[in-house]
Amino acid sequence: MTYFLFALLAIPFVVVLARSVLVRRLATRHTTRRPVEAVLVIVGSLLGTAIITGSFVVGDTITRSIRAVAYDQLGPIDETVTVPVAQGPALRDRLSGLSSAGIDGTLAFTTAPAAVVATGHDGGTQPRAQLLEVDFPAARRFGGDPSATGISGPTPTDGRAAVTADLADRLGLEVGSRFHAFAGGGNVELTVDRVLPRRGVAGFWPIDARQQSYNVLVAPGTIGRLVAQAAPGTEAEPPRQVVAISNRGGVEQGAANTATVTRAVDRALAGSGARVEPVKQDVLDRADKAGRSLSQLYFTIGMFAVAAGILLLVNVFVMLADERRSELGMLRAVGMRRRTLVAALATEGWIYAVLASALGALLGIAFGRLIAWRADTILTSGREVNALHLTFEFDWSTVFTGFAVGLAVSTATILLASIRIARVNIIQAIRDITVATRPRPRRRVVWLGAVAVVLGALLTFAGFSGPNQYGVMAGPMLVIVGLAPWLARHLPARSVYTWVSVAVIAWAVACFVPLAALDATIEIPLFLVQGLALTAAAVYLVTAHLDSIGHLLGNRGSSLAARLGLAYPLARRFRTAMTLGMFAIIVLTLVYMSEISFMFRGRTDDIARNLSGGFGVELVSNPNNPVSAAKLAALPGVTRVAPLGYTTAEFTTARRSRTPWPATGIGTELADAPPHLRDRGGYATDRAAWAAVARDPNLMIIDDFFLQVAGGPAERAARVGDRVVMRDPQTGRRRAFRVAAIAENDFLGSGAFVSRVALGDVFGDRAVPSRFYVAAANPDATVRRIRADFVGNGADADTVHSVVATAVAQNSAFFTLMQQFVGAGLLIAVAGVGVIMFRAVRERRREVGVLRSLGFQPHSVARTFVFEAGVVATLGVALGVVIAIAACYVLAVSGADFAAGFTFGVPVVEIAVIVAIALVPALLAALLPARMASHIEPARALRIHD
Amino acid sequence: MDLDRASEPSALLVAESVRKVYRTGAGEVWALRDVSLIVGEGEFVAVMGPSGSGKTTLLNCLSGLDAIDDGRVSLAGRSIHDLSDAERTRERASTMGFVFQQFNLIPVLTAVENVEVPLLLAGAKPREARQRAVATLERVGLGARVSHRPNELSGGEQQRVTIARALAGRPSIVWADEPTGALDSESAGDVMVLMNELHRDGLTLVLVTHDPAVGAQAQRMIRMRDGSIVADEVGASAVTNR
Repeated sequence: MTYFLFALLAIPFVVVLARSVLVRRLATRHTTRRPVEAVLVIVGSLLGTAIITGSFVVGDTITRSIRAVAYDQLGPIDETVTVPVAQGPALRDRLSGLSSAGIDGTLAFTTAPAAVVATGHDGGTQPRAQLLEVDFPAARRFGGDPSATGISGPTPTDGRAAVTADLADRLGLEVGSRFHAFAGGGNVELTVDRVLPRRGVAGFWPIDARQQSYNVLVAPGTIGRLVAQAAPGTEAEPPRQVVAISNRGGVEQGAANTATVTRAVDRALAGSGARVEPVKQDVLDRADKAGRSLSQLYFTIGMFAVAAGILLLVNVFVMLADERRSELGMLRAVGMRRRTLVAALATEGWIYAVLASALGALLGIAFGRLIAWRADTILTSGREVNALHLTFEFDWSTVFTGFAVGLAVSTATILLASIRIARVNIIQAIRDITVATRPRPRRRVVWLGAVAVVLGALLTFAGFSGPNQYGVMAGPMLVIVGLAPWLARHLPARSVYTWVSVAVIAWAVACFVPLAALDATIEIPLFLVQGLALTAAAVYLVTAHLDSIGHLLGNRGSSLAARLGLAYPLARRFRTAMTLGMFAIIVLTLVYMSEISFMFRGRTDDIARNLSGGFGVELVSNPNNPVSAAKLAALPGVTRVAPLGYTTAEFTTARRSRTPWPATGIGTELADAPPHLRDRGGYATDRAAWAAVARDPNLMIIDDFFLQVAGGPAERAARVGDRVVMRDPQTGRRRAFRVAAIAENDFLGSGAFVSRVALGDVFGDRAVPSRFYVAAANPDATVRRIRADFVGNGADADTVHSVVATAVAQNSAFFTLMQQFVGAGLLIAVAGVGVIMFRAVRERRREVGVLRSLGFQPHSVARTFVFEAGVVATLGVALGVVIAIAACYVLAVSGADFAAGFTFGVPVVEIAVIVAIALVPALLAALLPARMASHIEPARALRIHD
Repeated sequence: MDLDRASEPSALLVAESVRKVYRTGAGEVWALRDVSLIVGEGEFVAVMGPSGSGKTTLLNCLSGLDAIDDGRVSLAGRSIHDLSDAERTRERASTMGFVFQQFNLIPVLTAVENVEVPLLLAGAKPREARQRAVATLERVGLGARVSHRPNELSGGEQQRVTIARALAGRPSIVWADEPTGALDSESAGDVMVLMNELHRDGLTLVLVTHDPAVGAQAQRMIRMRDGSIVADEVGASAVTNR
């Protein structure tokens, strides 16, 4: 597809260049005529491609980093079947006779979650670890590639263990070190026999989604002896027997046989109650999905900068057309057909675009590297279980795709601009006289407007009846814009367009109110639509009334330099509008993100309070040896304990296919001090909703981010009243639920809340309460006490506030990263100012000559140019700041889910930094051309023809 | 106006009752009012008149650069305003040459490459175009300046390049709009000498000027006022030549 796109973009131009001497001459000579401007145009244009490629490269990095799990934690393991240990022999019997062309072999081993404590006074602890009993020689043979299994040496003997490098690093263990492993109610002291890499069988980690594997590989029988030490009647998840299956082929290639092998294994397991889990395929799918999702997020955000790049290209072309007006007229006069003129102009632009896209694609790799580096820091700053270490990696095919997409955007822009420019009035162009503006729109424009009105009406209807976010936002705007040409034929055109712009801005800002009322999903691209509409309308508004603004400014700055600096932006409104647009759209995006981040940060206490309800501490323990609720309740200062079942399930909704996600089983204890619900469904109070879910095994509470793999405001997987199916991936048991209410978010990683009974019904003894919400007089002291007292139970406690604060800080860091990404677009705007000012110097040599001959000082000439650049940049920046703040204000008061609980505020310092970052380089970009202008010699300038 | 001449075999251009109206926000401005005119093959016609009299509009409308509101213009029997834009463009490329007051040369092309433009547009092979362009430049006295770019040529030389460009395609008619307007008197004299030579060689020339000295060199002089032809007389040069 990419190659086809490239061929489509390249072949016509190459053919034209090869066949038409005239087009070749015009295109190539003009390209090299003004090297400095050509460089500025290429620099401005390449950033768009760099941003596109950067977003793709980030996607590659995310995908490859998650795919690394397939090597680190699975290796030759493609599928697993997991059963309680007691059913292990029967399972092995069933699978021993398994024959499928796609299977390489099977390997059985026993696992149990454990907590590990290094022996010694300052020995560290690792509450989430895993005991693994496996026959080492068999494990090395498994899959046909011993190096992929991570296993070396003989099976450890009693009292000895091989540990993974992750655990050794965490606890400072080395060969000969001693440590205690706690599981199943007992503990055993072990000596480190060897340290194994996190790889394949040695790295197998089904406990949670973290990238580390804290594995202890022990002698056969060790787990059984530990479980035997448990007190009778203790509720605990029993150890599991895992049969791993290796498909034919390498680590990633083997996954291609998953469907065939899964069918064969399911046939063999028929009637056993066990199911095969396609673990490798799931990891690869998750990797692709997360990579795609984040790539799309950055791509969408990057589109703001790409839009600025498009404005720059249009501006450059319009300036080129201005410069070559008489030349274009002459070419048409002597017989050049319009399409040949379009070909000549577009081919010239295409040469720029090819160079810019190629360089941009290479720069995109650096962009991606920078983002991956920053994202790695952010993604590893939170809880380890949610952390993702990024390894920078990309495919050259991705870079080529970035190049092709960038080239496609540039070429389309150039082609449209060329078509517009080629519609030159021959006589006016030859004589270089001003084109009189049409007093009224043409009839065909009115018809086009009518089409827009019809389309807008349809979109509006679809939007409000859906609801569909894009229809609600874009439909009415299209109707308003479509009406404008007709109105302009009957009323004063400027007034019509002014009011249409005001109406578009008003709707783009206010539509979040009806969107909230309709409970419509809000996705990131909607903000792109909003940003583009706001910028276009606001830029028109300012440009149309520039004379008033100029009058206002002119009165204040009465120096001649200031007046001249204002005169040109007023006279050249189109290019002023394009430059305003470049600054406005980038600054709008940056300020918008600052605002959202600021308002979100302001909600930390609020979110923590909402999530915790009456519980300030969250605790996760080893399900194989869980903390006792009674012992927790007996701790000093603890006032209330809510035991929770906790496991990973698979969910399916009408909008989402099978997705692994956490599930939490609740009892009525939680309803006694209920967390806040964003949408209570039909229930009168939060308490009533939680109590209903705790009692009714058919109800479920989810949050807005339920089943959302990565990035941005949620595209909701389910709403109140929807049906959601929960499934145990190990047994295939399932249960359907109705969504009763919606929680605000899921910073605690609870996933879906169902009753403990329902969770037990689906997951059996794996639904044992191992997680707890604890209410305490002093949450920090309670956390310290829990960590100290229940280390053997693998207790990992934290205050809800600290978990929320970490998550909010992570979110905020991501906003900053996205701002830095989009902020690159400012370079486009700055390059745009540079191009315009260089062009201005060239165009005004004679005027400067006249001014100098009349006594204008060189420094006054320079000041005029800097003032002009400053006025345009400042107007653009101010426009961006004002509309972003206005839009965020309405968003905050709209009641939209995305902005639930936002209190409007303005991050003054952050916005001041953004303004400075935008304005200072713009003024610097004007300095060189201003200096050139001040060095113009009057005598020479007055004699210049070209 | 004696339109009977239209049926004469030598009539190259025939304009009948041509009207041109410019509509502005303030109202309508009649640029041409029922102008009728015949230009014979090989004629050298000067169109004169004060500013705003419609001279340039007449040239634009007769050459098909601008549309007309009423009337008819035929060139070699083809009604040019009945043609589509593309056909009219082809017609210009194959049968007309233009010389403008502003030289309108392409700054990135050399003199010879500028002259080649209409030839290549008319479909000439590059080698043939080059030979003809060089020959034409030699014809206008710029044989030694073929590789120079416009900014390396004087105003008079640049105008001679535009004349060469107009001639290179061997057009039936050359339109010249104030060809000496941007030149000093010496260069203007040189250009007019060249124009006269071309006319003597049989080229049909329609020249717009407000300069009586330039107009006087034409074979026939048309005077315009307020969009109408007020006089169509034999030029001084024609009298002299008789």
